[in-house]
Amino acid sequence: MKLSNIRFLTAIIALIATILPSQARPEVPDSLAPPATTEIQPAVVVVHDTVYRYITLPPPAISDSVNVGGIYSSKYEKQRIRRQKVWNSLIPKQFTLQYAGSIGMLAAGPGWHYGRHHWETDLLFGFVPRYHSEKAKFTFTIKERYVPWDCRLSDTWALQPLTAGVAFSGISGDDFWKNLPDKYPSNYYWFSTKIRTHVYIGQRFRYDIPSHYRRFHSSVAAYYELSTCDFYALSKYSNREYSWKDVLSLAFGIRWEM
Amino acid sequence: MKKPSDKTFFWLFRGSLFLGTMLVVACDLIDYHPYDTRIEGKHHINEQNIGRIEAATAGKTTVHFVLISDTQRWYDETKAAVRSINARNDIDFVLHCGDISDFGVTREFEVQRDILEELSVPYVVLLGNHDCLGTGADAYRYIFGNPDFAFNAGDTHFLCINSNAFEYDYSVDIPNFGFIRNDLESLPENVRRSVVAMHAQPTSEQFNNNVSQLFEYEIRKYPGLQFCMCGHGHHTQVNEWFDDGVLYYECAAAKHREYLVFTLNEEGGYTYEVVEY
Repeated sequence: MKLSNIRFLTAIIALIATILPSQARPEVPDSLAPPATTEIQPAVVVVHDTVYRYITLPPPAISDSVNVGGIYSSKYEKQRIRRQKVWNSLIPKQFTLQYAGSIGMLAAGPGWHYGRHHWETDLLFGFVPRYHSEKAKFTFTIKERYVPWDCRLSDTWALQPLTAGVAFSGISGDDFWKNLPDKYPSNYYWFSTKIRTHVYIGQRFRYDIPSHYRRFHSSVAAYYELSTCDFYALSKYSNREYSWKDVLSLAFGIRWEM
Repeated sequence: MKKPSDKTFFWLFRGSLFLGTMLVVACDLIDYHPYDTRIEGKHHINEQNIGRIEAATAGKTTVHFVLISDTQRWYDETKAAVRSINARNDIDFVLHCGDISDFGVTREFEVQRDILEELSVPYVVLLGNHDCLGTGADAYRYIFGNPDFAFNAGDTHFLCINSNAFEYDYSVDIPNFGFIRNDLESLPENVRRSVVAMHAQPTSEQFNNNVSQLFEYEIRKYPGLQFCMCGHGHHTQVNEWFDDGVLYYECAAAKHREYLVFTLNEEGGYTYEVVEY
């Protein structure tokens, strides 16, 4: 047989296969199987680089209900799916563990990435040992990060040559106040001792776990960040001789993407 | 798993070189929190320096010392003051009247300490109200020592007392009359005159003015009380608050680039000059 004939045949077979999708539908357990009378097409939604396949669920288990417009066409179902999407987006997509960086000796917590992996938000709970003070302290930090580039080094390794962002950090304890306590005359101290604002830049080195080795995470990244907080920056701003090593703060961390 | 390519190794090599260089610098840059009180270097300085002052001035009947105050977040000016003081050779010691930090942040104490360590003469530092913020008082206690202390320079007794009652909501004994009484009772016999130093003077909002009369009464029990010294007001001033002849010398903040030089002379009197640097 000629080669062109084989191609022609394959094309015909492919066309038939697309016309008859119901033939190729996978088997579903009886309990989940929709009533045979309802036409259900598995919906495939493509969100940039990730493919989500919605599991087709049976209609409400009320025996005498009449399903007029199909499972996804009812107002209730559309609203239900939208609600699920909103709540699903709140599930953390990454987890971070950070050492130092002026937000605690160790800080850890969940985070989210969005905007084509360019933006990230981390919520970190940190711990500061007591050292020479009266007691140990806890910190709570919100970190916002922008990652402009993702440079692939190989199939599994990638470098994010710049990460930059801003963080707001609070510390526990009666010694610290967010707003000036009432006892002071107004503007006695113009700053808050509880809330610190940090800005930082850093780099990240990522290992994408091959899919067949994945257990809980899809990638692991090690990063460092150089940051400064409002107090340190202000000290440098008004003093030429103030050393940069007293302005900057270095952090190391690991980020697991889930 | 796929074997990493040569390109990967190249990047790994460059990356590790870079990280290695970073690690060398890293130790200095590790900061757990601005208020972590994780302090490296010299500590309990007042006690050590008092020993040096007392040894160097033993038997002297003339004492020269410099009063500086409120150097918070004026690092350039503090450095200039240190250079100016080091350029003189008539000074026995330096007394800092408090507010060494602006926010009570641990690094501020360390940086200021390192600047003052450049002094060629010993120094002591009092506790200021800004030093009480956050964990500042804890950092102060570790680096400098007890906020109430006393020492003798030659035949002169120096009482340095914490007067920041407002920062502690008047809930602790500030000024500490118990300390003053004990100090009075244990004065060496050769003391013929006294000087009192504090951060905030009576009438200031930091001072516990409910006991300012009593405070004056107590310190006047000191033999040959010459004058009192303070900071906090940021301007060089002399005040007499109680119509009793006891003058309160206020030293300007470092931003005004001024310090006071006191000379306690052999005749039992004193002179002072305001030095601009």
